[in-house]
Amino acid sequence: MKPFRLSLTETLKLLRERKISPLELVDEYKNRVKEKEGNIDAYLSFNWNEAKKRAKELEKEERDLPLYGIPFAIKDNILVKNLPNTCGSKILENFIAPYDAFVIEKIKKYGGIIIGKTNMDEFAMGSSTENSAFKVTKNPWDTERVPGGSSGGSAAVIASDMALVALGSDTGGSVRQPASFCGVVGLKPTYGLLSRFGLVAFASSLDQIGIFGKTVEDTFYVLNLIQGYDERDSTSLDINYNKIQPFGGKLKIGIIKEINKFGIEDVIVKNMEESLKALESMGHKIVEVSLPNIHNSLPVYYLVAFAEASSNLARYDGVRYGLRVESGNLKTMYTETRKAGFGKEVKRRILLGTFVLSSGYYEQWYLKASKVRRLITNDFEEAFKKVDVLFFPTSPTLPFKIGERIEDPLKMYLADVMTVPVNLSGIPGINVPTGVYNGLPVGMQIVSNYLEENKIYRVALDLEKSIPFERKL
Amino acid sequence: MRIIDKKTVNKILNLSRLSLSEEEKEELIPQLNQVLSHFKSINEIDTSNVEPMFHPPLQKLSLRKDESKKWFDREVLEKISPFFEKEFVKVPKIIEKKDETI
Repeated sequence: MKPFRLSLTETLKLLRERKISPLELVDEYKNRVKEKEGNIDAYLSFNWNEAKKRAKELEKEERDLPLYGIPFAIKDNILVKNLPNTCGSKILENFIAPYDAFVIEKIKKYGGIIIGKTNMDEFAMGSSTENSAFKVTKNPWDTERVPGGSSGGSAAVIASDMALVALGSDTGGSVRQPASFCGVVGLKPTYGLLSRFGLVAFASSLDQIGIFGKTVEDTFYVLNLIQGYDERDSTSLDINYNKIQPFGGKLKIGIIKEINKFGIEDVIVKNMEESLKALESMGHKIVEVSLPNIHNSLPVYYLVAFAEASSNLARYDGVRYGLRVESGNLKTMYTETRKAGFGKEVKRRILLGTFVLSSGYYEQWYLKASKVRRLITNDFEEAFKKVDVLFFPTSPTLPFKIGERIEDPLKMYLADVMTVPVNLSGIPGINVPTGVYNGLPVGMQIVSNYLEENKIYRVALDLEKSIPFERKL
Repeated sequence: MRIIDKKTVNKILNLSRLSLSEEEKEELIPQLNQVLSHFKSINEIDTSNVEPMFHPPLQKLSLRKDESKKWFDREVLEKISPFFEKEFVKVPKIIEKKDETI
């Protein structure tokens, strides 16, 4: 079998047995990218020279490094020293990262090789990767359709075997939703489990780095290596980290009583029922639980995300880095720079965020949303007293066509309706591919209480085992 | 229902240091109103006696010690900013006229 078809664990075995060298593996992936990238447009920049240099060095190093020679693709909002970091925006078009993100330091230390940076919605704002200022990434299953977003590039490179593992960021579903659209595994850990030092901030109380892989095991393998406390991120959890192992035993899987309020397509509901049957046959128990507030998550999420984004993006002012449009005075320089540098969706969100935080509107919009956020989180807390994990679709629809929603912001926001509740609470979630309808993948989401990734791991492994899923694109 | 009118848009454009052409405003105002009209449904939810939640609960959000720490050499900052002159980031003149606001 072609090396690029293998999982991380399979590839690592070949590398350690010297059946393939790190340099040969980089070349295999380079050829694969040459073959596929023209149709998919998933990458924004490549790192082949450095990757080859590192691969050669690795040939002299210890083969027991846990990521020895493993090729990674990184979303273009996670800093990799000396590589571009555009965030899909013209305002950072010429920005070169001056340091490595915490997770990148770990990947490099353990022998991983970074082959390129992937396309994304500008500043991670979008659900289709169409908001990139540079290119539109296509879904490898059907190139007339979107790969999801905002980490659409990272999802597409895994689906088309153009990298072995990829990192993304998940503020409202930006790892899980594209993973679902592209038929790959996408894991968003508990908020604070992965340091966000070196991740460009979008909405700081929601942002979390996530991992794309070909298998459930691959994503947890990488999570175990890149997690850990980091004093440079004030939200990094200072806890005793143990290696996350799949929970040993049968679990209570919760289904949401109010699921019919989400407008989920029939084929996806059918797939959910089949997936639950498969899990039941493996000995897990299915229990219905009520979460009366979570169907209100969409407005709450967006109002909070707008507000935090308007504040975080104030730093793009043309002063210290990024684009500057020279203009008469300091204020017009700020304004002209931001006018030229930001795309439509980013401007919409900055304006809405500024509005909901502004005097006279704050209580009615931002504060109100923050109160409902508490109710949603309480719902999860109550549910996890009765069940170990919750199970529901990752996306309410199959991947939609390029251009179908881009002119209608509200319709685009609705693509995240199943993923945003998880970010509001900060709990972990995963997408596991569970079927193909009319040539398009469907995925299911498994969600647990804080730091109970081991339960997600168990159910995700069992789901993967009981529902065969073929991806040969 | 119009939640945001042109006057409000002009105000928030100024607050957020953005500007739009008249055509762009014409396109944007209905979009902002569509989104907010849909989202105002949350006002029907009873949140009396509910404390707002601003971030997930596990974080202690402790402050680090107030000690100076060197993060980057000046050369690094110079490299990422094309507007460096000598030791400083260059910006347009800040104080020009008495009535100039920044």
